[in-house]
Amino acid sequence: MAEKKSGWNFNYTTRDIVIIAVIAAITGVVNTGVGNLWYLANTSLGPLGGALLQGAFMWAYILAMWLIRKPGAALIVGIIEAVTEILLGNAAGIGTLGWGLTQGLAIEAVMAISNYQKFDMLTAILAGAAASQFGTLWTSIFYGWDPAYSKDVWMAVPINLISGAILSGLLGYLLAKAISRTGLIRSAGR
Amino acid sequence: MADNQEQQGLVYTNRNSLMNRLYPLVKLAWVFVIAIGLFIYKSPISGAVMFVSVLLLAMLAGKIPFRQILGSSKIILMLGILLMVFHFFADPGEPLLKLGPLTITDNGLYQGPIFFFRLSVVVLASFVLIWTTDTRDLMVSLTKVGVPYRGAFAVFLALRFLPLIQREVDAVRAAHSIRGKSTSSGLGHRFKLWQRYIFTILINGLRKAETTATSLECRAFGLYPTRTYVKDIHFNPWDLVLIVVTVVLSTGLIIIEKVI
Amino acid sequence: METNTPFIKATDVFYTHWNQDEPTLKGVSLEISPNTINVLVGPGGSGKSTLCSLFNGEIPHLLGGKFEGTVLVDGKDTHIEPVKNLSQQVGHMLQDPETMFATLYVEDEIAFGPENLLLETDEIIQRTEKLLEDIQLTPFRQNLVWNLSGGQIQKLGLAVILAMKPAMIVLDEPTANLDPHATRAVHELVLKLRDEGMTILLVTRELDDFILTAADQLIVLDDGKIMASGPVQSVLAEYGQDMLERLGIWLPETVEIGLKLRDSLKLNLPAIPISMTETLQVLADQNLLRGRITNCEPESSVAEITKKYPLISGRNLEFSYNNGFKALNDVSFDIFPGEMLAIVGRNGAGKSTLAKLMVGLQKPQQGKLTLFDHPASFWKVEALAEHIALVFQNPEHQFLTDTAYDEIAYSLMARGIVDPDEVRTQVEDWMQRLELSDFTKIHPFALSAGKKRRLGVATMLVCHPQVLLVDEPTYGQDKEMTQTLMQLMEQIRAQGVTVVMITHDMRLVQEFASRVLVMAEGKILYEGDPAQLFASEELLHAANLRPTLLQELLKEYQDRGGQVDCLIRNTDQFLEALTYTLNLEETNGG
Repeated sequence: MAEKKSGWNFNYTTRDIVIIAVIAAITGVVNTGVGNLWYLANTSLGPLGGALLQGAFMWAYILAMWLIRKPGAALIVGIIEAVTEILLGNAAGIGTLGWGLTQGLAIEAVMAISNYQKFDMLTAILAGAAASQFGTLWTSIFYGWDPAYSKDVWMAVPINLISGAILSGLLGYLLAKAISRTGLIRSAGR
Repeated sequence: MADNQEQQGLVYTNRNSLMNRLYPLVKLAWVFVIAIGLFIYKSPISGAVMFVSVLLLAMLAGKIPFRQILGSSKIILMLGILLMVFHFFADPGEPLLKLGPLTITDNGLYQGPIFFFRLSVVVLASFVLIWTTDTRDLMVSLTKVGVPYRGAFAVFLALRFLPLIQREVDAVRAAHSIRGKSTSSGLGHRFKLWQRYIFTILINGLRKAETTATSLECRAFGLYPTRTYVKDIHFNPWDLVLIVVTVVLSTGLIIIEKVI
Repeated sequence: METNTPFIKATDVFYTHWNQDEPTLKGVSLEISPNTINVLVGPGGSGKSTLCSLFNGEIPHLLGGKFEGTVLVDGKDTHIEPVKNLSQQVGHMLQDPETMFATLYVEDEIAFGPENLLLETDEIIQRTEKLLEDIQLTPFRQNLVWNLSGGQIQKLGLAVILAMKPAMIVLDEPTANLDPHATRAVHELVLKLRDEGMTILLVTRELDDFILTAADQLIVLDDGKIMASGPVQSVLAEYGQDMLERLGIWLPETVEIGLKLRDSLKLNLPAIPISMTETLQVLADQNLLRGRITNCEPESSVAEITKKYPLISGRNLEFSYNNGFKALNDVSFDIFPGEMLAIVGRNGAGKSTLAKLMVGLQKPQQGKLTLFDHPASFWKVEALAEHIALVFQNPEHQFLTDTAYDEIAYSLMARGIVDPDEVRTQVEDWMQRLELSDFTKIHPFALSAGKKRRLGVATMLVCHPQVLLVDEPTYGQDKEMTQTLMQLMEQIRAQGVTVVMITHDMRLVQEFASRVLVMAEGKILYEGDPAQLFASEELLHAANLRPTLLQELLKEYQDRGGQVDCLIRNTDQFLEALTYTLNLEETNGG
């Protein structure tokens, strides 16, 4: 009975909009908490410091994409989630938008390649890994890490990818599955 | 557990200040202008000038008490200093001082403050926007420049759900701790508990979301492409002075850097 | 019923939710006349909330699922009529009005609907002003919607619906978690609306004398079917006993007494009394307002309880939240082994904060709190959990696993019971005791409200705590479920467990509490015998509580020459005592 339309459908319903808002609010709260740890690691230890946790921020982007299944869902969640973090007074201010945009766009890119048709575990893991590394691009700009002279930036790449694959891709995918299994959320089907 | 009414995050207050009266989009644009400048500056002095000017603007034009600014900025100033110290050691240049395996370079000493100011000024300017702007007005002003109102509302709804979520997070955390000590302390178990924690908050949040969506449609949300705004906001061209002054200041700094 | 055409006419409605296989509504036929108050009651899971969605277009247009039969709203078929028309004609206030809110401030929230309708600014302002006035929220117009009290939230929910100028409103349990005063305020508002021409469908699980007196039609829903509908008096007379005994619906104690006089004492009553005056009249007519009631519980066992050494003891406790809100102010109390203590007070009186202190989630900022012979600072939440368990208002918050079975198993394993056979035996035993055996494989979140609650209790009880703390036992429960829960509490109390319940339901206090702690504005107003609380009007008033109808009746009884020497806990005891007294008189040659 699941009403799942996927593909290039931009027709956002009111339900999609409210779901995006709720996911963004939840993520805003959780990410602000996790973020404090990450900011500390990153600012004091550099590119390798936050790499392990780098993937912990995007599970909700994946989840939103998996629930809504429309182009832009991950990007919009990214932006609104960033705004929520900014409003909660995180340690990056409007710079947070940079992460929301890069991470969201990375997931959209992966999904676009699949024509917004594939919603399996592998796609989720790829999207998570991509988002994680894309986010790091912005981190490098914001914190002034220059890959030209810093080995750390390169060494962090595989850690970022793995962290993103597990903490964002896999976690997001598993959450979407778990929610669907309860049969309580209509957007998740049953 | 309804006794708890704490408020987290940054709070907008109407102090009837100049900054309060500015058009919200102008303030938003101002934050971006400031941020762009800070990504271009090559000298810590430019950053310092911006730091002081944003601080003065917040206190004089925004009537924000210094104590509040300090209270909210403590963490970010600390992180800024950490980032600065990191750059002291990380950036290549002539070694100045050796501390065990670490070396402070002259270039690092110069670069460090740039990034301190980049981080702290961007955040401080964002704080000023939030302290002086009613989010509702910001949303309305977004719809005026063509953002569809349902989209702008998503931001607004996220904000509206925030306190509910925070209450939920507190309740779930309390409930989980009361279930007694954890049955295992392995990494896999922790990952599972973390997933569970998120899951509970999500299920409740999503269920609320679906009910809210139905109720919004019954209140004619999205029925027409536009809607009325009882508390409309009006753009005053004089507000642009803030942008002009900031742009002039910022480009001035960039030119001075080039000249010197 | 009046002869004019009904506003609502539902015929043979079947409805199956999108995620279920069995229909929730199984052939509902119903008529609602314009300008009437219609009260709908039914046990949990009978389909009340689903029925509420039938009239404003949610079903069949928004909620999905399978819909058969017809619903006519003002003559128009909901199959054909679009949501935008239906939802403006019928307003639906959800059970939790907070989920309806879309904005940050009270006045914006009221204006939200009309703004979407593209109404003129002047018209919107006019509507907003009038509604703010009507719901008495004008001073709070600039408040954030999440900083309102429970009663204010309900009123704002009502205003939000009324702003759309509907002809009919559907209110889904608007008073479910309100204290008695807030409940009365909402009911008075409903009455005023009817008098202004509104048609009202009010769903409730607790019928009180006030709303029953005002209602034009009473509808009883049972298992997706309308069991009875019609004028209040005739429905009560015909189905009252069934509602009480089989469906477990809370009826006012006055009605309970009336039904019992008629059925048990075989008295011939002209009508079932609803209000206090009517009940007194009936008792007077039957010449029952006399005599001395002596054969109930001895005046008090409080002296006996307080002789023991307390398990928990607080002295001069103070607690404030970060935002400066002083939740506890010079609070001293004791909890004794084996008692059933009720902590009462209106919403925000400090009850929940006190509970958090007792389970270690918060530490007192001032004063001395001793928990099981150790100071509060000695305890970690996890360690304390082995001595005192808290059953949350929302049991979902404490679930950690994916099946009901695993939930209980988790608790056992957390206690160090790891032998698989032992775990299985114990889990199965508990499942059976709580009538959950058929649901072992179900996801805890997918259980019904009552079962969730029982599972929540079970996860706590398997840890064999010395003290069980229950936050609002009636929250989201109908009478039957509350009774089951309370019987369980009685059972474990008999095994020596101390039970503490936090509630504003005075009927629960009257029936079960051995001792009571009254709180108001962060202070303890009274600690002791429940009978004395009921006897003191000043105390009840100061704590913003209302006496139960039964206690009010007993007071009147005494004012009119009767005498009561002991604590009567429910209507059964009252009737028993009454008959005993009368028999006594007869045998004494009356």
